[in-house]
Parts: sequence; C-alpha cells; structure tokens
Amino acid sequence: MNPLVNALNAPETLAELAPAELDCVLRQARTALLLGVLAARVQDQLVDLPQAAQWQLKAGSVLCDKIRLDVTREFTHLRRALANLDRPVVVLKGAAYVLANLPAAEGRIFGDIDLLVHRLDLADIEALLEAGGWSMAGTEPYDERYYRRWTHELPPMEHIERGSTIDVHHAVVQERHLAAFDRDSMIDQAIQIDEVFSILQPVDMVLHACVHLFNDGEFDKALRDLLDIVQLVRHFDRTEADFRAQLALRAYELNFTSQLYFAMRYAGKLLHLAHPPRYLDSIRPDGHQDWLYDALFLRALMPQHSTADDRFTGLARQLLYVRGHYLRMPLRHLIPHLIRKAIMPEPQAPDTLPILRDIQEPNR
Amino acid sequence: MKLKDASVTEITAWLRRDGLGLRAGPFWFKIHSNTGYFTAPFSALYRDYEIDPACALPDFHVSVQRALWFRHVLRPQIQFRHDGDRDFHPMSGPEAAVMFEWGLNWCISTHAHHYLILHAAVVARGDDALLLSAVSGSGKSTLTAALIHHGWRLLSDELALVDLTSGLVWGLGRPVNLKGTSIDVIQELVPAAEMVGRARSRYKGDVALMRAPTAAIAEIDRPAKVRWIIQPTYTGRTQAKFLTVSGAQMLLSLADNCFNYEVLGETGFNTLGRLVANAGRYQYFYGDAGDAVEDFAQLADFGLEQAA
Repeated sequence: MNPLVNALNAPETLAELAPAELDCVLRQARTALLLGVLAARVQDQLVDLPQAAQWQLKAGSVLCDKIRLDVTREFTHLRRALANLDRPVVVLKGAAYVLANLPAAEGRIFGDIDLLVHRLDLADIEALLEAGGWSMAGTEPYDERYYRRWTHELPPMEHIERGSTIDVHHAVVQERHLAAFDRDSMIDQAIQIDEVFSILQPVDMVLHACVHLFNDGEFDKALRDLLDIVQLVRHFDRTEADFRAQLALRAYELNFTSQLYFAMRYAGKLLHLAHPPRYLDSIRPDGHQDWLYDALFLRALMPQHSTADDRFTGLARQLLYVRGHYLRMPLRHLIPHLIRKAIMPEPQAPDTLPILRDIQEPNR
Repeated sequence: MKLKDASVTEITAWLRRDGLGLRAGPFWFKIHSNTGYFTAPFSALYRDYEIDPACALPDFHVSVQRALWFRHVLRPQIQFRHDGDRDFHPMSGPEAAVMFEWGLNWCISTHAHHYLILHAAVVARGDDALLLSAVSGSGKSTLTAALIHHGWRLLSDELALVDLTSGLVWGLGRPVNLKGTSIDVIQELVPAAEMVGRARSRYKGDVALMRAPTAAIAEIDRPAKVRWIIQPTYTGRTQAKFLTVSGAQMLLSLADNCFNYEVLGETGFNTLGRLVANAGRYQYFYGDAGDAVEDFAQLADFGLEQAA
C-alpha cells in the first residue's frame, strides 16, 4: 500500500517510521497538496517527529490557514459584487467546505473559488464580476473558445488587484452529457445560507465531488478529492438520516451511479470508508469491469510522485487524460485539440513565476 | 564530515547516484547532479559545509541535471528541479552554479513558513546582527561582500530567516551572489575574495559567486539579534549619510520585501513589528563600499552620532 495513504489512514504510525519512509510520505504529501491534511491528523504527536517533518507539516497548516482567511475575505468582496443579482449563486468544492465550516475544509489546500449558476444567469454574473474587478484577460483566445464550447465553465476570472481566481460553472458535467439529465436540478435544490450564497444539499455535494473527480482527465489532485468525499460522507452519515440510501437514490435520479460507484469503491479500498452491507453491489452499474477500472484508477489516485509510480502509472494517467477529454468532446474535435495541446509550448506554472522573478530581478 | 574531506570521484558518484546531503544553516539539501558544470563550482564553493551521503530525511530534494543529450549537443543546457518539479526555465551550462543558488532560495522562500523570510542580507558581529534590506539597485550584495571581509560574519546574502518565536535571525551562510560591476569592485576591495562560477546570465548580465568565509560557516548555527536595519542606496556621490526611519515606515517597506509576510498573516505582522521596534532603523546613502564599511563599524561601536 502507498506510504501516504497509510499515513492518512493511521497517522499515529508516522512517529514509528524510519527516516527514509517518513521522507517518502512528506514528499508525496507535498505533491498531493495534503501536507495540511496530514498536519491536522497528526496534531498531538507533531513533537515526536524529526525536525524536517515538523516544519513541513507546520508550514502545511500555515498555508491552509492563510487560504481559509483569503477565501473568507474573498467571500466578502463577492457578496458586495453580486449583491444585486438576486439569483442563486452556489459555492462549490473547497470554498463551499470553508463556507459551511465542514470537516472537509480542515487542512485543505486549494486555489480557486468555484461557483455554479443557472446558464441563463451567466451573462449577468460575468458582467457583475467584471465590474467587481475580475477579468478573463489572461486567457488565450483559443482557450477561451475551448472553455465556452466544450466545458461547463467560463474561463477562470482573475481579480486585477488581489489575484484571486473565480471559476464560474453553469453545469456540473460537460455540455455533451447534459441531455442525459436535468441540468439545473442541483442548483434548484441548493440550500441558501446567506443573502448571496448557497451550497449544494448534502447528497448533491457528495455527488458533485464524485462527478468532478471521475469525469476529469487530470488526476494530480485526485487523492485529495477522494479524501474530500470520505470526509463529507462520514460527516453526513452523522448529520443526515439514512444518508447512504438517499445518496444512491439521488445518483440514480441524476444518472451519476457510475461516478458514485467509483468513489465509494475506491474510498473503501484506499481510505477505509465503511459501507452498509451490499451497498456497493446495489450501486454497481451493469456490466461494469472492475478489473479494468481498478488498473487505471488505483494508479491515478496515487500521489503524482516518482516514489508512488509503478511501470504502468504513466500509461494509466495518459489513458485517463484521453478519457476525460473524450467525455467532454467528440473525437473529431478531440484529436485536433490534443495535438494542439501537445505541440504548443506549455506556459510556466503561474504561482511560481512572480517569486522567481523577484529573486532573479536585476540588482544593479 | 565536510565536503572537502571527500574526493572528487566520491562527490561525483554521490551526486550521480543516490544524491548527496549537504547542510546550509538549518536546512539539509539532498542534491542530485549529472553534470560537471555543477560539480566543479559546487565542490569549490561548498567545501567547508557539512555533508551526509546517506541523509535519509532532508528538508529539500533538489537536482541540477543537464538536458537530454540531443539538446546538449547544440548548446549545453541545465535544468534545476525541486523534487522532480520543473518550475524553472533551463539555463546554459556555465550558469549551473548561480542557478543552484536561485533554486535553493526559491525552495526555502516558498516552503519554509516556520520562519518569516525577508529578502535581505544579514551580517553580524558576535550576536548583534545588521540587516541590509534589499531594494533593487541598493548594492546590497556588494556591501555584504565588503563587510564580511572586514570584521562582520556572514549569516545570509539573500534570505534572512526570522524565528517566529524568539525573533532571532538565522543564517544560511551560502555563497554571495554578485552581479555586474560589483564583481570587479569586490575583487579590488578584497583581493582575497574567491570568485567562482562567473558567467553571463540571460537574466542578470554578468554573475559570479563569492565563497563564504570559512569562519562564517563555522559559526552559522549561532543565530543573532537584529540591532540595526539599514536600507542602503547607492548615489555615486562621495559624501555618505544616514537618515533615521520611523518604525511604521520601515515595517511597511520590509513587509514589501518579505517572501511570506502574507502567508503568515497576523504572525508575520507581529514578528516583523517586533523586529523593527527593537532595532535602529536607517536609510544610508553612499558612493563607496569602503566608506560604508567604516561607517557601519562606527555605527555599531558608537551609535549614530559618531557614524554620520
């Protein structure tokens, strides 16, 4: 079993690890954005760990505290910008966990605020955000067309002063699949929590996390997203009546059973989420090939680090990348798009550049 | 064990195979490299540093590797990586040593949030530190290079690590980054200074690294209390002058030059506030690094009245 997954499942064993094993856990946790989560889990025994582990974990929680503060502050700005909208604005994922103060927010490191709105409100919200200082100016024209045509979100909007990024979604799955279910059902059932923001109802919050994780082509944050699902389910198991049955019913209603099945299967296998008897059997899609998906997902869900790879990890990730795009656009559009992405130079990771520039600034 | 106790063959083999642990101040770096462009200047610059070929739990995994062979045939190219992440533009072979320094600075300043990290040079006499805040064009590195050969010990040339609890500043004792004309200025002022890895950089023009004095490295685990904060400005005129700066003004100016002030939030504000409140705060206008050395010694010995 993977060392980071073990550490997350049994944080008390961390102090017993050999230095090299601990090193491996920390490196994987850093790439998987899970230092903050790991720090939250080892809290009491932090002092028993070697210095290098102590500071890395502490730095993880410092970063997480900063993100929480930033997001909370950003909500204030957003409330002001969207005050006159008078239409539901649903906060999704990490930002929603912070807004609703859910255990899944603990130690979570994330960058953007994701919002979900009715498609008909899209132009209004785009205009209000632009008036509030958020802009898509950083997006290439090709990418903007791609976002608008093939994804279920607008290009990311970045605030011109604070640099905060907002992703506005108008559906929870790609345009291509919308025929299959009621696109606004999740928005209509969302729970209003203040004058501007809503969050998804518990079953939808879990289902959205499942769909987001297993329909996407990129798995670099997959372990964190699976942990979210586990945290959410454990929490709602306590607060909601008969939660698992409600979850399965809603998945049937929205046609998300395969995503729920994947999430529950791997949450159980990797992160020891307990299921009611025969629960997995009851949601397994007909004709589902477990061995095939296990071969792909059990590799892709691991931290994206050389110490976590086996010889097929690269292949599994590539296949899932193509699968993610295939779920989004038909082949005749997919192939030219992938070729373009393969030959165009990749931009530098944006979060590292300003700091790099700072250090490399000429010092005459 | 020090790097100089190992043979070139050993060092090369460690760097190529399992990596070599090297300690700079509070951090252990596990370093991999497969290029002589790095190994040669590295062995010279870091000969007095503690090493551990095993080093099972380093603070950072870094590598300086040459690009794939077909790229290398055209023009030698070097890539810095932090634990496999390629967040940096590749640079030419002769720039390997400076690229390593910039890479380490990046690793520390973006991760080590258990310190408040200022973009500043720190030198000390005993336990009393002088912090030179870095504003572009200030000649911070030139002054640092001059000071550490005239009675001050080097704590750090680029990054000041301020302890969040004690408020003391910790050094890294790494080589001093010199750019442009300051390389020749220092060579003239301090003929004994050892310059390594001189190269023409795409980003900064001429660059070179000055080896940190052996005595400074030996004392690197001794943190110091910041007694003087100086913002130098090079004017080119001969008459040097100190101006005192208010605490509030200095705090805002230093906050701008911190790497993780915003990450640390309230802790960052409190730590920086305490640092600024307990130190003498000056702007210093000068035209000659030699004068600065004398003025700073006067300031440290007798206070501002004597110095200006």
